[in-house]
Amino acid sequence: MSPRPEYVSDSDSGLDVFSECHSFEEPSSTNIEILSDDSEFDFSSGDYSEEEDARIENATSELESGSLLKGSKSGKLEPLGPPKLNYGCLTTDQIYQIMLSRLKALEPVLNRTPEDIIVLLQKFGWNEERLLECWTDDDNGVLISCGLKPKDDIKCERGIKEVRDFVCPICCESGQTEAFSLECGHEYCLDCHRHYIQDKLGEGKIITCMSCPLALRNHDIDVLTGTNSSQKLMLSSMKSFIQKHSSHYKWCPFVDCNYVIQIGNISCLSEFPRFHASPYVICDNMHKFCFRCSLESHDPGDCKVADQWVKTAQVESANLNWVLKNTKECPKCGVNIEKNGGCNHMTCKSCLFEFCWICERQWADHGGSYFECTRFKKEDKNDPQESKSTLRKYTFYYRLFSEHENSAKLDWKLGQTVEQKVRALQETTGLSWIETQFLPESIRVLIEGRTTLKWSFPVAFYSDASHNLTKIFVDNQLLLVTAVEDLSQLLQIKEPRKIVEKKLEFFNKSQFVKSRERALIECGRDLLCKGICCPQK
Amino acid sequence: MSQRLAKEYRSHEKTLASDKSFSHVVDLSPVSDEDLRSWKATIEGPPKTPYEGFEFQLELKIPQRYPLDPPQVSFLPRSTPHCNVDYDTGRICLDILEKDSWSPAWDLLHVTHAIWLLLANPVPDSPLDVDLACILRANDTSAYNGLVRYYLKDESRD
Repeated sequence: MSPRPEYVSDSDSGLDVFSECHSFEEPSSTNIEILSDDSEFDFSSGDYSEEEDARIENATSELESGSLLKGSKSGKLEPLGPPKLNYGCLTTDQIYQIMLSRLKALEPVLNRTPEDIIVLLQKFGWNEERLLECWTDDDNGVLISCGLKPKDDIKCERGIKEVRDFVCPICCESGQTEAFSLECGHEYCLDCHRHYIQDKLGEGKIITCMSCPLALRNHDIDVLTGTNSSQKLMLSSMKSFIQKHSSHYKWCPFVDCNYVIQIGNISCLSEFPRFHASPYVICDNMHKFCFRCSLESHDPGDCKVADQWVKTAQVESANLNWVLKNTKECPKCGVNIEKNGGCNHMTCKSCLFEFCWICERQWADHGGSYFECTRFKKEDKNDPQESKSTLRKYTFYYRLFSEHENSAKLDWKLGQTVEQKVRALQETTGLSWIETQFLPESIRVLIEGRTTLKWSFPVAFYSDASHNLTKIFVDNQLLLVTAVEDLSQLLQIKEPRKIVEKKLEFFNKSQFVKSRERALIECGRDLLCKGICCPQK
Repeated sequence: MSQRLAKEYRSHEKTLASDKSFSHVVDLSPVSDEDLRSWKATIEGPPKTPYEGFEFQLELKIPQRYPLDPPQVSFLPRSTPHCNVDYDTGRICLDILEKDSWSPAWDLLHVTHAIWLLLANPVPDSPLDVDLACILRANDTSAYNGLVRYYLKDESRD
């Protein structure tokens, strides 16, 4: 997974890269609508998720037919494709609010305080259906098993008590004046309780009395620790909530990203495989990922291609990876060269030989038919050892895949310095912030282009190479490679003045990458739809 | 927390001398009076089990954060054939000895008693000795008991 793009500031969503594919839902009113749909469910019905799906579907279709007649009209004009996803990007705070609202819905049924319901839900791993089932069976038993009611009689009040000359049975320190206990009367000093709670907060499970199964409520935890530590417990509990409701919610898979994507119309997720498309979502940190398989954007391949490729890569590439990751030798003088920039146009520092990083041939030889090197030449056509040649073919494509992955990683690094570049631009040329935004925008386009390029190699690998459409696909690939490399080279420029001079070029080249990318994706989808590319083979 | 171990020492000594219900714990004391972080225990094999008539030595290592962290307890190596004990190292698989299930309210006597109970009630679902566990899973108690006794006698001959 690529590192998060630190340079993306929160407010610059004015850039239109993504708006073509998705309408962003403001996580405000729309979400709450989805929410209320989510949280009211039929208590009598056992199969809750299907009902819920149906209800959301109804709600959305009503919405469409009721409010937007235009929608159905334009639907006819547009080419057939997967339905539009309704989704919102939520922060952990918002998820917490959702959890609270679900809890509120249970309040009238269970007739307990919200704090108690939190404990109940934690015990049941946020599985409301099972909780309700058990509750109707034996509510008293549920209360006891969740530690909300002492098994025997209540011995004393819960809370901090003043005790004269108290000796805590755990630390055995004498002469203390305060102790805490629940209704069970197991008194321990506050310090021991604090240590104990700190240890347990991360587990996301109910924290019980140290001697019996009676549960500490969030309030008790906060009183004891003196801060609102129960929030930390809620955060770890949130993980189990999202896991339980993973059909609606997914964590952004990017490193250190804490956003959660909520899908409103989950019923339309099932439409995507038919079109060989993937339900991509973008979090507020601009991380694009597939809601179905939680991988990064893997266009033009669908989830099946990506899945198969990743699985094969895991098996085959343990060794391969190691070899490929290391340096290459200059084809002319044999000096070891480490690639430290995004572009594939290499110039050997020692002999000044210019060559292509991928095919290791002279750069000039690429001539008009740039990047012939991405075309897999079918050698050994009559090789009887089929499997050997498949492996060779795989190695060939995997190499390309990982080359572009590495390049993309370097581009991310480049992206992280772009903030400085932009500032330098503003200082030296007097351009305003908005006028310098073409730079981060170009990098974003470059990275997107590279990601698409990267994932086009699995598609090429699984495709029937003799088919005409595959040839067209490969041609499209070559065009995108050229476009991406051009843009990448442009982004190597460091001098602010030169960058400004070439502003128009930045625009043109990024636009070109975008259109080539779109063409490649369409072409790839065509291959998948027509069954020319099938990952099963 | 050093108070705690000193107090445990005193109270366990008293309990073992007076309380008949702990008569199966022959000994529970620090290895030396200078270091309270290393304890040893001796328990009798529970009656009506193949362990009856044998004595078992335990080593208890007390971590710095005790009683917040559980003590590390093991049998002497190659002394105890049991499906939840690694025969070669003496390591014990018992939930209350794991941090997740441990409670600071328990003490070393509790732990020793729990291990004594484990001898009589093997849990073949979380085995450290897979062979013995397989026999138990197949409900062949007499084979299990026989094998345990064989090991025990073999050991005592050495």
